[in-house]
Amino acid sequence: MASANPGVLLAVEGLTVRFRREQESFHAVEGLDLTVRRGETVCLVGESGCGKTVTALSVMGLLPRPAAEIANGRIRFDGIDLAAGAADYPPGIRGRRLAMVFQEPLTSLNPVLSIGDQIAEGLSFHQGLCARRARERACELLAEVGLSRPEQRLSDYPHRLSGGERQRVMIAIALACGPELLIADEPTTALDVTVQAQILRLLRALKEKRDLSMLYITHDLGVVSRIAERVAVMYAGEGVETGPAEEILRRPLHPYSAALLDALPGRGKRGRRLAAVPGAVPHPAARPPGCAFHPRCPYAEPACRRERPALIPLPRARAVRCPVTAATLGGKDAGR
Amino acid sequence: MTAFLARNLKRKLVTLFLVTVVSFLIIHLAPGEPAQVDPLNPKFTPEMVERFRRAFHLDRPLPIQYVLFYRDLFTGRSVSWKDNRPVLEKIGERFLNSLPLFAAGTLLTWTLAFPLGIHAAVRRGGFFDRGTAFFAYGFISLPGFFFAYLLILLVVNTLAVPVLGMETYGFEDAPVLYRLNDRLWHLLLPAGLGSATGIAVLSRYVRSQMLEVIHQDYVRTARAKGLPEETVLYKHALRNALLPFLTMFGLLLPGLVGGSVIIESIFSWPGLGRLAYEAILARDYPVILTLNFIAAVLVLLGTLLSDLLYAAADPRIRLE
Repeated sequence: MASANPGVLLAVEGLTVRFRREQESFHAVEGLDLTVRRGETVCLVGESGCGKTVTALSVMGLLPRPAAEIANGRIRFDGIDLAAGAADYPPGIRGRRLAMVFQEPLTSLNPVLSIGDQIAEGLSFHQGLCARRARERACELLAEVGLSRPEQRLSDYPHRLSGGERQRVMIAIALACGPELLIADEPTTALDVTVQAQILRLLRALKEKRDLSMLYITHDLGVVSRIAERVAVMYAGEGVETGPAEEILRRPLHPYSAALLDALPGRGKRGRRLAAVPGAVPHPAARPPGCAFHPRCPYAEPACRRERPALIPLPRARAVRCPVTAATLGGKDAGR
Repeated sequence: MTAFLARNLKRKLVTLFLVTVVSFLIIHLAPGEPAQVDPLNPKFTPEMVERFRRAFHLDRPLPIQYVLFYRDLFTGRSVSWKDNRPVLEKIGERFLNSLPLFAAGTLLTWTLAFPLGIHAAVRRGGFFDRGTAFFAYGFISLPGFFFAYLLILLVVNTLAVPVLGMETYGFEDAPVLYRLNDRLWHLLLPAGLGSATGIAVLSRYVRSQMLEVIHQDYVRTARAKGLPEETVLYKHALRNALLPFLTMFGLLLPGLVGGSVIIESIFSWPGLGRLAYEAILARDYPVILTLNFIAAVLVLLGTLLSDLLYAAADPRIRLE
């Protein structure tokens, strides 16, 4: 329990995850810093393939081995080092104090086990509940995540449930043992828009009720504005900007964050063509030299092609990995 | 459920009828005729051939022959043309001989292949995985009869294990325990050999199936719950990996008749496979067609059994 900052629940410092496939080897995540404080919702934002899910899996100790490994960095959960042993994840944390909801509710539930079984087994294992008690508890959890007729649903199999219902069951599984931190990896991406809103509301309500901390992974800035207190923006495996959600949404500093916000449809932009970020996210194996974003960046300077920028701390608990905008906008911001 | 069974059985009866027609036609299309098996035999005078043909209705048109044959089959009256013994009696006797061989072989195959395959999948790329892969491919590529002779040489010369037939000649009056012991020793080599290839093939299937399932999202979910690795593997992964093998299990049934002609021939095992082989050489139509009929029934029953097992194990499958 030797945590430097008592309010910090999850602290990721300099996380680097290496993938190896036959000949090639690359860093899917490189030098990522991330903190989640108790009771806080942090959104990890970025395009597909930028390393958000790999970060989450590293925290959960679920990286696909032996292809992926944590090459560097520390992950501490309430002062416990989660990345210390290569193979041994500390017991009593995963599924109990730390839980995760995955992106694909359709394939994340075991098709041959009833959902009651799948919720109850964690309870039996972690809390030693007898079968009857675990089932009662599973029923309460199903009611809590808003599934109708929970008693009957216990003996249903996943294929009888809709996508939204399955994600509710996944949330019930994750919350079963009363975790302190919930990692939600794009939990609404695979769902219909109306269902997305319901799941988001549910997560927000559960967070309030249970005083959860949440690491919410998304590529949707619309979601960020509804749920996040703080935001970390990732690009090509690096954290490029962190700060309070309001600040970043109102005045993004990194050109990439700004481009993402520009690409978001909104009231003020009605009738206009939506801006898109030109180009594509580079594959981590082919990361450009210097700043990884410079080929797509409208503000790129010659130095950006050569030197890899460091994360520059700014006032109001913000930080940005861009010397160009930090100097202009950040300087103004700081002087205000 | 009952509706499913009724519809399924009806369909299977139609299939069975078609099988009888086709197999009957194939047998009669094949060159040669029982009456002409041994044309150089001086005892086979033309009159005898004629008498033979009449006795077994071979002078009648094919449709009549078909009806007469299956009438005899269902009333239990058909006899072997070779020795005039009732076909069902011959088959029943040989079936009892084949049964222990089949049972021992199947038991060995299915009890050994699964642990081997699962273990290899879990330690993919490790010493155990490579070792079993080496032996599996060895058994698959080595012809059974060749391997059998090697083993016979080894076993007879150095271990004095009996290898010919089902029991030692002259042991019919020995005490029960002695006979049992003797029979078990005789069973060892043919059953072991018969199952070796089966174990090799099946364990590879189990391994690849297990590997596929291990990477499914729901296995990751199980891990995320913090369950012990054994629970993740044997409850969440294995249950899904086993589903395709239920289909294979139903298709074991026809093996009761097809048996293993090669193994039975090498070890002089008086089983069904050899009976069929000898009957084909002798153009003994009633025996061939009856065995064929039984095999067809077993195949159809096997697929029905597979369907039922599958529905029982996989909640996504509903029989209707």
